[in-house]
Amino acid sequence: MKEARRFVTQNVKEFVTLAFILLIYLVAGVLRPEVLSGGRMAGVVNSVLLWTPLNLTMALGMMMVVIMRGIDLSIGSNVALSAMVAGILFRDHGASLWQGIVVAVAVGAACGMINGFLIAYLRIPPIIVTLGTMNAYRGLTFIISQGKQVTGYELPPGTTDFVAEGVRLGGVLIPWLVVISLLLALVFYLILKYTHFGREVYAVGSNREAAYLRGINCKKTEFLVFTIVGALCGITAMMSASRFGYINPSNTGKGLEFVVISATIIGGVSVNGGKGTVVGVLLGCLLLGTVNTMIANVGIPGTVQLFTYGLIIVTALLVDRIVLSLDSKRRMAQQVAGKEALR
Amino acid sequence: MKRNRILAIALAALMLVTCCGLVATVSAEEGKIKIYFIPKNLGNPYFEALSSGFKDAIAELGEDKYEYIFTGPATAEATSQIEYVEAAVQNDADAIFIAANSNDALNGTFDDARDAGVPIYLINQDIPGSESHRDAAIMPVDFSTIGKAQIKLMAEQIGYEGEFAILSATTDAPDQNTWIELMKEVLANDEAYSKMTLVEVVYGDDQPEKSTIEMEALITKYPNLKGVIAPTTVGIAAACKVVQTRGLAEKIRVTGLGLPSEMKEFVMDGTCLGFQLWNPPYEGYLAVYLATAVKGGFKTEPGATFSAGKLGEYTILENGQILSLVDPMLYDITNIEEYAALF
Repeated sequence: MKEARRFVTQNVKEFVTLAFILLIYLVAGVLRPEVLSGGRMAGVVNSVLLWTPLNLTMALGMMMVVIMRGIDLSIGSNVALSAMVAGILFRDHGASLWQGIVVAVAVGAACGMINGFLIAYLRIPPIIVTLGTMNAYRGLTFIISQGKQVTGYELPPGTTDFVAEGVRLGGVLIPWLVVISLLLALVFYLILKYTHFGREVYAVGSNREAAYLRGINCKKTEFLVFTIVGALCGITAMMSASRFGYINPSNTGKGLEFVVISATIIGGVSVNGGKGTVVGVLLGCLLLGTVNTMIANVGIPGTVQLFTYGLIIVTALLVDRIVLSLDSKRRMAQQVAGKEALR
Repeated sequence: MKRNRILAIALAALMLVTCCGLVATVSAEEGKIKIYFIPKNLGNPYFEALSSGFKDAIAELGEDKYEYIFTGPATAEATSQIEYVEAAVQNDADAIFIAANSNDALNGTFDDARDAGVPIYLINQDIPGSESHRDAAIMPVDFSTIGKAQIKLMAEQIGYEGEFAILSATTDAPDQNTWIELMKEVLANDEAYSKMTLVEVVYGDDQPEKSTIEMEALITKYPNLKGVIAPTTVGIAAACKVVQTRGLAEKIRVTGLGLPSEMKEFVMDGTCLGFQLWNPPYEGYLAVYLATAVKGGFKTEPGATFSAGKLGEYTILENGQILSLVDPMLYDITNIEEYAALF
C-alpha cells in the first residue's frame, strides 16, 4: 500500500494525464451513453489506436528535441519529402516495400542532418532553421513530384496491411502500425534511460554549460538528435502511406508538427528543457487521440470542434500545472517538517 | 573565423542553386493565333489536364495556325499572376485564359490588357463581383446541378432508401456548403428520395487524418449507414480508404466528387461504384474554339452562340459565363482508366 502510494506520488504527472483520458471517456459516456456500448466501443478504440502510431513515432523524436530546449517545425514536410521519394521509387522503378522503407528513412535522416548541422554547428536557432526547412522540404516535395500524388495502386502490395492486420489481444485487433510504434517507444525508453547518449540528451537540455564542462560534446549530441528525428520522419512517412493509402505532396504530413508538439507538451515534456519521459509522451498521444476520436464520435457540430479541441488541451495543461504545483508544495512542506523533526 | 567560412560556402552554394532555377525561354512567331493559358500554379496535374484540352483542339484545327503558351506562377498566390498577364500582353497575345487566384486582385491588370486589345477569359471559374473586368468565363459545369446530381447518384447506389451521411470539406467551404444546401432541398422536396435519411453532415477539413477519423466515427455512430457522399477530393479518398480497409464496400457505398487518378484504385476494386466531377480537358478544348471564333469577328455577348467542334454549340449566358457541361460527369469502371491517365 505504501509502495503503491509512493509509485503514484513519484509519477503524478503521468497519472494526471491518465485520469484526464478516463475523464474524457466518462464525459463522452454521459453525453452519449451509446458511445461506450459494446459494439461502438470497439470502433472508438480502433480509431484511437490508429490515430496514435504516426504521432507517437514523431513525438518520440520531438521529445528529445524539446528536452534539449529545441523545436522542430519541419517534421511534417520531412515526412512528405521522404514519403514522396519512396513513392516515386515505388511508382516508377518498382521498388519493393522494404527498399522504400530504407530509402524513406535515409532521406528523412539526411534532411534531419541538414537541420542538425545548421542548428548545432552554425548555431542558428532551431525555430528559424526548421521554419525555413519546413518550406524548403515541402517545396522540394512539390518539385520532385511535379505536384502529382502517388496513388494507392502505385504503392507496393501489402502497404496497407499494416493497418488492417495485426496482433489479436482478447478480441481487440492491435494493428501492426501500433505494434511498431510501441516497440519504437520501448527502444527510446531504453535509450534515454540506460545509454550514455540518452543521459547526455537530458544533461545538455538541463544545463548546457555544465554538460560541456563535464566533457559532453553538446554539438554532436544536438546533431545526432536532429538526425534521429529525421530518421523517425522516414518511418512515419511509410506509416502515413500505409494508413492513408496515398502520398500527396500537399496533404501528407500537413500540420503534423503542431499535433506532435501538442502531444509532447501535454505528455509533460518541459519546454524549459531537461524533463520528459517516454511514458508521458505515450500518454500525451493517447490523450490527443482520444480527444480527436471522441469529438467525432460524440458528434460535436463541425463549427464547434476546433474550439472544443483547443479548450480540452488548455484544460489538460491547466489541471496538470495545478496538480504539479500542489504536489511540489506538499513535498516542500514534508521537507520542512522533516528538518524540524531532526532538530 | 572557421564558422564564417562555412557560412560563406553554404551561401554561395545556395545562390548557385537559385540561379539554376531561373531559366526562362521566350519565343514568338508571326501570323498565328496566340493563346495564353495561365493556370493558378504550375505543376498542378489538374491544370495539366485542362491544358491537354487546348492541345487536342489545336491538333484538330491545325498545329501551324496556333501558338499555345502554357505558363504561370509556381505558387497559387493572388498577385503572382500579374506579371504573367502583363508579359502575355507585351507578347501580342490574341487571347488570355486564366484561372485567377483572386476574385479582385487582378482587376487592374485585366483592365490594362483589355485596353490594349487583348481579351481576358476566366477558365475553370469566374470572378464573382468582378465580372465587368473580363470578357467571358468558361465554367467547368453548372454548379447549381451538383447537389441534385450527387443525391441521384447516391440514391442509385443504395437503392433509393436508407441512411446516408455527408463528409464535407471545411465548415466554411462556400462551394460545398451551397451543394449541401441544394442536396437538402432536393431531399425534402423530391418524392423519389422520401425513404432516404440524411443522418449527419460531418467535416473532414480536407485533411486526410481528420477526414479518416470522421469517416470511422460515422461507421461507428450509425450501424445502419448505407452511404456517404463526400463532395471533396480529400474526403472521398479518405472515406473510400476506410471502407476498403474494413471490407465494408458492400454495406456502405461511398460517392461524391473526386479526381479520377486518385480514385482509380477504389473504382477498380469495387469500393466505389462511381463518382462525379466535371471534365477539365473540355474546358481547354472549348477555349481554343472560342479564341478562334473571336479572332474571326465573333463578339462575346450574352446570347451569342459559337460552335466548338465535337462538343457542339455553346451559348454565352446572361452573366457572361459559358458552361462546358450542364450536369457533372460520371466516372466509373467504364472510363476511369482513360481519365486517370489525364488527371
